[in-house]
Amino acid sequence: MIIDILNFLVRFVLLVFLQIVVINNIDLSTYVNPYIYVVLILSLPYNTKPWLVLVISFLLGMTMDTFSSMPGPHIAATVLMGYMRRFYLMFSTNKDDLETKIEPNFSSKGPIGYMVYVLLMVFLHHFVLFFLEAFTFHQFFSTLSRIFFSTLFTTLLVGLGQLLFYKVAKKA
Amino acid sequence: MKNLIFFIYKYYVFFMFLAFEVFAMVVLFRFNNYQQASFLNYTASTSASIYNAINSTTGYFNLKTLNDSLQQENARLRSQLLQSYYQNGFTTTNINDTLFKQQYQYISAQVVNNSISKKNNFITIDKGSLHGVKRFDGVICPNGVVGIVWQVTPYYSLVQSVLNSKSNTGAKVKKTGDIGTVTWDGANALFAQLSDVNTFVPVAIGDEIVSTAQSASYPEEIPIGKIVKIDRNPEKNSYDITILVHTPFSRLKNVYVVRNLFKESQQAAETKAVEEEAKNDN
Repeated sequence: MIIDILNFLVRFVLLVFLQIVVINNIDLSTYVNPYIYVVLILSLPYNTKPWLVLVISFLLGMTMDTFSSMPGPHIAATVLMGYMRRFYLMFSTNKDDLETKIEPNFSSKGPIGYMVYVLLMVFLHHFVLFFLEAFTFHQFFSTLSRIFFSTLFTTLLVGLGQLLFYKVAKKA
Repeated sequence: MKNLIFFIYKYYVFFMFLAFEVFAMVVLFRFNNYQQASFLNYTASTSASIYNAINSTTGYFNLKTLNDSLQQENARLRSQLLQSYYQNGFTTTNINDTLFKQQYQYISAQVVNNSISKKNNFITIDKGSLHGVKRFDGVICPNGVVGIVWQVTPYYSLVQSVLNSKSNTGAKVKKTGDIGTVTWDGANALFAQLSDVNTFVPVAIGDEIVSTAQSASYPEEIPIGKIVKIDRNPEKNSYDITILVHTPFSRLKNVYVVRNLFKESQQAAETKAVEEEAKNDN
């Protein structure tokens, strides 16, 4: 139990650090703003209590907002994603798995199932985040294409991360 | 009552979700509402000091280019010093100068955090109210305008970059002096848009766009950019001009906060005029 919590805290700090120090400085284009920190919520074990998912989402969103000079968007987007995660998992995973401590990843959901899960959740997150950041429906399609490209990029990065850690897990 | 409690207990996750979302919306709307953003006052100093630590490491990578640009600026300023002028005439008199009163003060600052790829970009700088920075002061760099101070905390300030879809920078065509507004459409960090320039103004590609003191945030004639594309806006009888921004936002490091010492009196005069106009209308 304590090991789980420590493991989680290390992940939290590493992901936030990776996001603000590396990913936020990529500046590839104004249309590509990947936010990979959401993977922290996406890879919580199946049996995590719903309220705990919400609290973690809130704290994570709050942390990202602190580093992004506009308060609110990250909280709203991450909490919504954390809330919706449960429903998608209920629909896509069998009931026995939902009671276990297994984390959703390549091996437990299969590569395609996992990528679809990430794509949908990241799209939901980015949709809310980018519209709240823009704070206007003016230039609707420009914001929409931002969401589209950023979602693809985030999903790609998360998939690459999975490939990296999946292999490590197999060796161990 | 018992039923209500049972109802809330049954759906407590949903209510928790709702509470978090409402909290997020409240802080977001307060931030966007020109009011004091209280959330930011708590968080800005923490995040800024962490960014500062990161920056002190990454800052080494571009020291060379930084030194070059500072050296160039030094050279230009040095050439404006009194010592670099030949004194043509041999009588010197001391006069108490009442003709020239200092209007602008410059506070040098370092960029602590910066983004160029969002729709609303903000810049954090390491000077705050303790150093005399006030809200809506202009921020410039050796190459041109940077933005307007948006939030002030004791040690840090948040600057609304020109690369922000909500920024409106008062500008003019340097050659003719006609005024317009510089905005940013959020597509490319290299280009900004100049609007409200009347079609009878003779603008050409390559013309310089500079700031105007009418906005009271920037001094006169701080460079902004250069015209690269001119389109006619048939609805408004004005040009839609695309300008190449001079400020290198992607590697911004040293900036100056401009304190306009006459700003309060300029704004007081303007609000007075507006009030009197309103009175005359009634």
